[in-house]
Formats: sequence, C-alpha cells, structure tokens
Amino acid sequence: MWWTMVLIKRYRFFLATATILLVISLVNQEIGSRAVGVVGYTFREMAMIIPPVFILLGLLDVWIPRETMMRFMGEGSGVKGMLIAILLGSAATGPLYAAFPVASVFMKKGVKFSNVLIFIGAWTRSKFTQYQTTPKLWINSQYLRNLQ
Amino acid sequence: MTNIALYLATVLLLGLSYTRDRGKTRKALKKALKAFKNILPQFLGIIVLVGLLMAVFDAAFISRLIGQESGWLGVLLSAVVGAVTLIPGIVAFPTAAMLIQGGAGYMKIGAFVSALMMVGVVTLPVELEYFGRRLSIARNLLAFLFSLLVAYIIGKVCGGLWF
Repeated sequence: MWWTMVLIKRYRFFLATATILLVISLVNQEIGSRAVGVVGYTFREMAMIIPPVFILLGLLDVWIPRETMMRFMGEGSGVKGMLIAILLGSAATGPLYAAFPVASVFMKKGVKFSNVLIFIGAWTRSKFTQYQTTPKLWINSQYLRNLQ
Repeated sequence: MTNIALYLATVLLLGLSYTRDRGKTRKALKKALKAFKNILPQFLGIIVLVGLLMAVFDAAFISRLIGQESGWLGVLLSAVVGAVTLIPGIVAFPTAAMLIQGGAGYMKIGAFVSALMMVGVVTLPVELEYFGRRLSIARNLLAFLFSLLVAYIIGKVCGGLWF
C-alpha cells in the first residue's frame, strides 16, 4: 500500500539504525544492552525538552509578527540584534539538535542570517545556565551508569 | 532546574495565549505538532545512532583514545572523538574534569569539549533537514577548525603561561 511505502521511506534512517542495533545485540549482548540503556536515557531527555521547545516556537510563530522579529534581529538591527542573538542562545539550554528548529523559525521570520549563526554559536558555546552543575550530579551518575 | 523553568515559561505563555485568543493558541499548537511530526523520523534515528555510538565510545574508551596520543595528533584525535560523539553538556563537563584528573592535557580537553558541543556529525541528518547541505557542512567544518583554535588558546592559557 502506498502509505506504508511513504512511512518506510520517511523512517528509513531510523529503521536502518534500529536494524544495526538489533544485529549488534544478537552478536554482542553486552554492547547491545548498553546501547539500549543510552537510547532510553537520550529518549527521555528528548521527550523532556522537545515538547516545550516546539510549543514555544508555535506560540512565537503565531503571536510575534515578522516585522517585530525583523526590527529586533533583522537586517539593520546592528549590535542590538547581535546582543539579542547571543543572549537568547546563551540562556537556552538543551543539546544542539534543539537549536535547529528554533533557528529555522528565526530564518522564516526574517532574522538576519548572521544573527541566526550567532545564535547557534552562542547556544553551543556559552552555557551560563550550566555552570551550576552540582544539583545535576545525579543525572551524571545515572548517565554514567548507563554507559558503564 | 532549567527544565522546570522551561516548562513553567511554556505553561505560563500558553495560558496567557489561551486567555487572549483561543483560535491563535490552537493554531500555535497545531504548528508545533506539525513541526514535531516532520522531524520525528530523524530524531528517532539519531537516538538509536547515539545509543550505538555511546555503547562503543564509553567514558573509559574515550579517555583511552584521548590519553594515548600526545602533541598535535592527540589534539586532533580528541577533536575528532568530540565531533562524532554526542554527550549532553551537563555530562560532558564532569567527564572533562575526570579526564583532566586522569592526566589528559588541557589542549586535548579544550579540543574535545569544543568539538563535542559545536560539531555534530551524529545530528547532521537533523541539521540537513533545517539548514540544507551547504550550510550544514560549512558550519560543522568551521566549528571543527574553531575547536582546534580553542584548543590552542586553552593550551596557551592553562599550560603554564598563567599557572
């Protein structure tokens, strides 16, 4: 049926990696179970971060007009636009892959291209929300347990 | 902590949006769902890929790899390892601390953490979806080169110039 073909095509990358995981698990159970542990951890992490990010992006898309975004971060926004891009990128938490959807909405909304790149750079580089890592140590131990 | 803040902000803004305009709020949620559906296949694939990579590149393996080579080759190797692995920042920083305690040089750690955070070989499928081929490849290449520059500067700053 045509829709199963569409589904298979859309999920081919996932299906390929899942097949590799299955084969590896059959060959080497230890590596396989470790991989499944990390998959579980990463899935939980993504499941926590992705819904609010996408909802916030939807709200931004609907409520903030293109003109406003352009005034603050578009062509001719100058140093102000750069500073906003740095601030937004640094304040945001989450892994790199969470930054891509945000950046793509920015581009759609007429944010200057260089400011989008500044935003991504700040997201990946300056993490001032992550300097206080002590309360998060349990996450580390959990993660390391999955790795070991 | 930051997750709580993120959720609080989302709920607050969503509530505010709902009291102002129900139709717009519904539209925003629909857009969110559509964007999510579009990227879900890539995300799922990456999750499994990360699991596979991490099962091989565990903390012990990473420190063995990074610890082995010295000099510029070691730095380059650290950057490559950082580029292909995907570890959340909150785990990466303590891991880096562990590596330093284990005797790895500052230059290597600088290269590893920088490449880890900025270069995403594993997340390339998602990035391609949003940015296209040219921009994604250029961004990752430049980020990789920048990681080496950062390693050089960190090596100079931490390697006996001031300490």
